[in-house]
Amino acid sequence: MMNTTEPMTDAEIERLLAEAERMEPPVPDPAFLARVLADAAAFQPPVARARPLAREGGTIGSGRASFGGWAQALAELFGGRGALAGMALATVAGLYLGLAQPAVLTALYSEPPLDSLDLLAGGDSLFTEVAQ
Amino acid sequence: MPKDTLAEVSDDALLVLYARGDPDAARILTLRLAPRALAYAGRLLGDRAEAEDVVQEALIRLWRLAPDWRPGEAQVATWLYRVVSNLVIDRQRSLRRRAAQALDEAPEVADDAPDVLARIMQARRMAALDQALQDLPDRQRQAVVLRHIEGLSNPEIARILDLGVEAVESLTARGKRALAAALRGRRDALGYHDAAEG
Repeated sequence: MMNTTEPMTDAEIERLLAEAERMEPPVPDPAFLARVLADAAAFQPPVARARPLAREGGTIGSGRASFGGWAQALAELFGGRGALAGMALATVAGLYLGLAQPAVLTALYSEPPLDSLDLLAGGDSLFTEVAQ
Repeated sequence: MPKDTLAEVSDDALLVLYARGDPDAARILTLRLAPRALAYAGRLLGDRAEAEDVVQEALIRLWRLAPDWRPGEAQVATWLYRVVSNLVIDRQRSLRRRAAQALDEAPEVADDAPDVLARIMQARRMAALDQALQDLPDRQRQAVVLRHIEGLSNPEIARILDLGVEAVESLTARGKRALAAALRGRRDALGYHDAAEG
C-alpha cells in the first residue's frame, strides 16, 4: 500500500486534471448575461443610416426608358449614370450577392471597407469542442 | 442577419458584425465565449462572483475594441483568454484569502455523476484540485489550467501568456509537480486508494 504522505503520482494528477477537463463549464447566470449584453449595447457603435435614394419620377414598370425611378436609384447606388453606363458583369454579380445576403453586404461595404471576412466558424474558435 | 445563420459565423465575423450594428451578434458571441471564460477565471480565482466580474470586464474591453478588430490577425478566444489571465493576476493577491474560504462551499458537480456518493467524491476532488491550484504561482496555475483543463495546445498557451513554447512546457511541468506535492496525503480523500489504478 502506497505511503499516503508521498506526493501524488503523475498519473494520478493527470487523472484528476482530466476529470476537471471533462466537466461542463458552468452555465452563465442570467443576471450576468444581462449585464454583459447591456454593456455590449452601451458600447455598440451607432449604425450609419443609408442615404435615401433620390427619385426623379417615373415608376417601376412604367415602361419608360428614362433614368427616373428605379434606374436612377440604381445609378446613384453605383456612383451615378456614368458609372452605371460602364457597369461590368462583375458588378451585376455583386448586386446579386447583395440581394442574396443583404446583411453581409451591408457589413462588407460600410466604412471602413474590409479586405476579407471569414463567415465560416471552420473550427477556428478555441471555445468550440473538437471532435476526438 | 438571421439568428440561425449567425450560429455558423466565426467569432471574428461576429465581432465585426457587432461593430457594424448587428443586434444579435453580441448575444451569440457572449453565449459562445462566456461559459469557458467563466470556467477558466473561476479556476484561477476560486470565486465565481469575482470570475463574473473579470469576464464582464474582459468583454467590455472586447466590445470597445470591436470597431478596430482586424479579422484574421488573432483569434477572439485567444485574445479573451489573455485579457482574462491578466485581469486575474491584477486581482490575485487580495483574493487568495477569500478563495480559500469559498472552497469550503460545495462546488458544482457534473450532471453525469452516477449517484450521490460519486457526486460527493467528485465534488471533493474538484475542491481539492481548486485549492491546490490556488497555491501555485500565477503563471504556473494559468499554464496548468489552460493546458490540462481548458485543453489548449502549448503554442496557443504561449500566445495567450505571451511566452515561448518551452517556457509554457516548463510552467506546466513544474505546476503539475507542485500539484502533486500539494495534494500529498490526500490520496484516500480523493478516492485514489490504489496507485496501480492511476
